Amino acid sequence: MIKLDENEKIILEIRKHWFLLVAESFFLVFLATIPFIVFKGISITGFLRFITFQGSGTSLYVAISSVWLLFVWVTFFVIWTDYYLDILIITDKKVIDIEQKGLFYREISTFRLDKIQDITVKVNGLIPTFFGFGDIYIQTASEEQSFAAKGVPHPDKIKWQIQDEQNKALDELRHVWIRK
Amino acid sequence: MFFPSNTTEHAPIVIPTHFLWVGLLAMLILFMIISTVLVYHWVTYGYKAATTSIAGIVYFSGSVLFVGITMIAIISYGISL
Repeated sequence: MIKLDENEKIILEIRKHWFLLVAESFFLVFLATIPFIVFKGISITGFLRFITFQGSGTSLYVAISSVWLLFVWVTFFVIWTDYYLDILIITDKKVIDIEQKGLFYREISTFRLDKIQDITVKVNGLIPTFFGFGDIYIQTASEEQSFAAKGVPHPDKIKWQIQDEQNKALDELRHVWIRK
Repeated sequence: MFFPSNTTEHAPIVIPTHFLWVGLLAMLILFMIISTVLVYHWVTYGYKAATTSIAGIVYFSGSVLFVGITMIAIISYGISL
């Protein structure tokens, strides 16, 4: 869970583009078809013609295939969890970047909107251009801090939205100084 | 016994059902460990309870289906021996 300041509002919650989830899980489609490929392969080539199993071969095949499909199913949810917990949150005060890498590595970086110096957007390649996703690089005033949100949908719109919020945050700061 | 002693050619392979049950039990233990880790992440770091709840329902429904099919298939195999 993310702790926000009092009166702080979430403006945007950005996850990676769905295409990246599909691309990352695509190999699972292949893994899921392995029992059927093996079954077809055995029946076409007659690979096991010299071996006979006592009992129902179909039941044995179904049992092994189901366990295999359970493994594929669980793997998909591990990938989905990684995707779902990897998020960039923009509030009216700050940017929170949460990097979930696998199940046992999590990195949370936070920086205030008024500390942003530069935002760069990169859309590189045919598929990112076609599906409208790309990378956003945010450079802050602090020496060490620069953030990259990769594979986010509509990076241009997000850039303008962050800049809008940044301008509002800077305006608010100016008003505070004038009042003082 | 994997091969009946009285036959040497085209000997049928017998996989005892308890081998299959032990294999399934090992898979279930692994499944429980991974599921606990997943649920912990959904509960602790999830942003919207609705999304993680739906994910949980889909995940466990699918898993119960696969485990159920496996159990029925093993029972059916045992009967056919």
